[in-house]
Amino acid sequence: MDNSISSGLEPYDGPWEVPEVKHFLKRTMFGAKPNDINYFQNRSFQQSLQEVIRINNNSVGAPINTYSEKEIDPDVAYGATWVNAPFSNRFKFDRMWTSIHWWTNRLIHQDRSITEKMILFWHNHFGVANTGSQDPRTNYRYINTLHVNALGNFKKMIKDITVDPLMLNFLNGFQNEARAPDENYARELMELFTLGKGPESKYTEEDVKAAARVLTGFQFDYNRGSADFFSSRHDIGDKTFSSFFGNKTIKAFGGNEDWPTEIFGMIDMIFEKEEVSKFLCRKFYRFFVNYDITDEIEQQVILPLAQIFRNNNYEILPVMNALFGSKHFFDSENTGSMIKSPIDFYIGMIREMEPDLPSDMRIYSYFMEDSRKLLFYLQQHLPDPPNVAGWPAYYQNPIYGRSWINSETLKTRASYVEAFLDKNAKPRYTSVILDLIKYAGKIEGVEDPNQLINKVLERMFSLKPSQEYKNHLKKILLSNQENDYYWTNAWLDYKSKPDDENYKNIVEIRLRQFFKSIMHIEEYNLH
Amino acid sequence: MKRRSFLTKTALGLASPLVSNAFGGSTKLSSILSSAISTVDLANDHVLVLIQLAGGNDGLNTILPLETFGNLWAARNSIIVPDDRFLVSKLSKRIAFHPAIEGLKNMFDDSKLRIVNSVGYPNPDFSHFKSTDIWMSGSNSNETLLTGWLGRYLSDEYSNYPNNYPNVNFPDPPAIVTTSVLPFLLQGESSNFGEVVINPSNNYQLYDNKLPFISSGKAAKELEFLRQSGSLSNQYSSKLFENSSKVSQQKPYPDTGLGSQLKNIANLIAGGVKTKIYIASMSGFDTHANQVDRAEPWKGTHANLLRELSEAIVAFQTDLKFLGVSKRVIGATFSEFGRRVGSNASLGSDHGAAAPMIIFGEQALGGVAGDNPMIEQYANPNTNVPMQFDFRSVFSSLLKDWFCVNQNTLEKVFMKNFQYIPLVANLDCLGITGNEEVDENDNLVNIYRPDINSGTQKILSSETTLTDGNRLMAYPNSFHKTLKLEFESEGGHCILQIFNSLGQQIAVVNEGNFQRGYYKAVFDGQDLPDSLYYVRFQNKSFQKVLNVVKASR
Repeated sequence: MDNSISSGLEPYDGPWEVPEVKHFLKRTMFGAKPNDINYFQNRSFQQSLQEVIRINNNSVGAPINTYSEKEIDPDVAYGATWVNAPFSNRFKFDRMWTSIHWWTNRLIHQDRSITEKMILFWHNHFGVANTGSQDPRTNYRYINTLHVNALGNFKKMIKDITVDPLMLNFLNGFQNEARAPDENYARELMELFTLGKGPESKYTEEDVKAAARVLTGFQFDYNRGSADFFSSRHDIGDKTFSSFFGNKTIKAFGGNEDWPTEIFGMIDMIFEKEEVSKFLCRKFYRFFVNYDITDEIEQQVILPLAQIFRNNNYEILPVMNALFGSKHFFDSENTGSMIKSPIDFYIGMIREMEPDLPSDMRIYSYFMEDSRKLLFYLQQHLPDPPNVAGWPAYYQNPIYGRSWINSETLKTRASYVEAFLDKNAKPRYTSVILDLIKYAGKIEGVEDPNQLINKVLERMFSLKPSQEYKNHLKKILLSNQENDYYWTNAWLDYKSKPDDENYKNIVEIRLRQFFKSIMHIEEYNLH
Repeated sequence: MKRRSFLTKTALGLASPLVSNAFGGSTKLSSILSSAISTVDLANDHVLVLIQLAGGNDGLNTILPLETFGNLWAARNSIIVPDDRFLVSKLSKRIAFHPAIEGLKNMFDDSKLRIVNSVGYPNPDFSHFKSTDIWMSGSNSNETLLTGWLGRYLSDEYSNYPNNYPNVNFPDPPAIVTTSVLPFLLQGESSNFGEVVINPSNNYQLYDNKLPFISSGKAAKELEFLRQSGSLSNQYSSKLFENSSKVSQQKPYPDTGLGSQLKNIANLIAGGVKTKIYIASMSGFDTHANQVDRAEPWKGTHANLLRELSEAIVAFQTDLKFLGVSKRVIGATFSEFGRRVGSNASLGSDHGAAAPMIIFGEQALGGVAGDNPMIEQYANPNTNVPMQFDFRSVFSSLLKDWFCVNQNTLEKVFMKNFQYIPLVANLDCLGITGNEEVDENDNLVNIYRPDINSGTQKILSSETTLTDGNRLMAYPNSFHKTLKLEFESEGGHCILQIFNSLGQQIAVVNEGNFQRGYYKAVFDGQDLPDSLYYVRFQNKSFQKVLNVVKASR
């Protein structure tokens, strides 16, 4: 069988059934909810593409005070947002953590769009450790910066992020001043954010130093939580770049208001290099499609995509439309080919299985804190990529996505599944339990074990199960008996008397075994 | 009760004749013998522990060169340790130690620690990621390799890994990593040779789907990788758990990330695990800003990092000695680069070039390799410490002297012949060092570890009435990290054990003949998963079991 990829960016015109819808949703969102699969199956591919590849501009709310149970925050009532309140040293960390809870909640309750996954892409791209923040207002602002630019213009996004207070704090921008330039941001701007370190990216150490000088002058304003520019801290000499940038000189200027001319001028200079578009398209591809970029894919997918990026003056939306609308994206070689990131694994599980979540605000905030910790132990702590290059899954050649997996993380994934499926499992991790009867009850024809097995597997897996595995699942439902009616009767008994504990237990025990098998197998880690 | 050497001596008998032949052999003969030698290499019982200091450790704030201290002072006066604070060694008046690493200085004074000056590579790269890749892959500065140097070495030893591993000859992982991500260092052509072990007693057995889904192409490869990882995890975990459970006592460690990593490593080595390479790691060394306290520059972020490093290594050494395995273990630190000579305006230092490496252990050579970096006058913030030794020289010398790797293999691993640097005291690396006989008294004094500070047993009274209900106490219950235990002996043989909820013994806190009296002990359970455990006490015919709960999260 020939596994090589023959398709490129030509528009996808194949079938639009559960396998395709699911592949599309799993890669653009976190997990494919049963309802969402139905919803898009009833629309055309083009309609679906249009609906998903857009930025949700609906209000996503703002982080709120769920921290003042023991000590009242005089500026913010319990349940109210703190984003407009004055800075509080006392509640700095409490607020910062609730900004993470707010973010985690957004992942779980995402609408039918790529928004949250796109924000995560950019968060990985910029690698900012949120917990190193000096002021939680800057965390909120950072996420908004990623949100508003997520499918906008990449050049504008780089300009925004360069002067974003959380980024300035993270990469020592506030310590970068004329008499002792700090190169931290300047280096990553070129190496990680725009040009990359590929063979064609030939900027020099002197370019890094010159860029650091261009960027001198910002200080943090503790009152407003903003970044202010002071020309007195700025390097007022001209900055000349290497031949890679055509020996361009960025002219110095005078006043406090003129910094954009110099800084944005330098960013425009960087964006004249084609390498920016190629570097970014490779990153898009590795994040959304597959880490393995063969020469063929470089030629047929990456370079044409980079061309689209440049033709559209670095607008991101046309690139995403071309990528997700392509034959290549739906190539069978790509489905089920990615190891789920911890966020795909955990948030995907919660979204696909739809357990009842706590309705009480206080208890819900505990669930958010549990979720934050679970992701931390799975090695994808949402607020803090391990370093400024992001998570190794998206840059560490040659293992990439395999870096999520080792003995420890496999055990952790398995013990979470255990905890969410079985209220008697130890350790508990969280009070949320997947309601398997409720989940199964929504499946049409659930009383037929074949139907139940096929529907669940079709929804949850990108790979095709073997007949032997289906038989194995059926044995679980039938308790090793032969006839389908053992399950059918068990289900119908339960439906006739839902309050009968005995009937309920019979169904629940079998479903738990059934889902334990499904969610513990190696295949569940792929999408 | 004497602790016995438990390693078999068969490998030693095999080693000697082959080696004497091999070194003098013809090319043809030596190529035939090289595979045999590889087997012998692994048959020595030496262990190498590498500690990665991620972020770029400020070498000039770790080991200070004294000949040009005045120039160094001028270049980084805002962050430098003043001369009334740094520690000068008895052995060398040319270097000083940061006060936070007094423990390492003491090891240096005892010739248990060697400093290799100014280690780097030609054409330094100042990117963390590129430079880390260079150190881990062993590449030149301008090239990219897709395997790690340890991965290449291990490919030679563990042919065809991971197919048909573990097996009788190789029951344990080729390398153990004590933080959650497998380093590139261990990457081989087709797989990574590392197994992550955060907690040796976590023997969770993963499902193994005997009826795999239908897959092809890229998905099939990822699935195969997942299945292989799961299968190795199941097999290795059981074995590691079994071995680590054999070690009931360890010396105390600082309650730090590196402390617990090294503690687990000592546990596994002493438990008889055959793994020869361990990778531990600490991060936070990227000290661009506020690496020191302004008012007291010998304190602050960098000092805290150095203290964590030093205290963990010292505890590790003490423990290895206590466990009788110290002669089998050598450790080395490395970092992707040092930092600039000059400080920046943020009380920090920027990405630099060469920096010292530390080689430690009972069999480390001691002393200093190379000259101190010469700091020029008027050093500016862009001045770097030039390289004196290539890091590949250090690592290839370690492989040569510690694992007896032959020259052919070294050149295969490092792509060329790097300069040899003496690092190991006892060059008789072939053969079995064996575990040391542990002094019974030393064992007795430490076995109770009643409270971590005093280190001795406390007898409250020898006249206590023996009421059965009070003869065993365990508190606090639930416990967070350590569980305090009290028991009463009527005299004679006592055993105090900890079992997990499956009833498997995970520790023997105390065993031996105890005079009539009341005893206290501490059980360190910080590495155990949260769960129900049982404490069992037996004294002659009396026995009692208590339920205790560990709850740390």
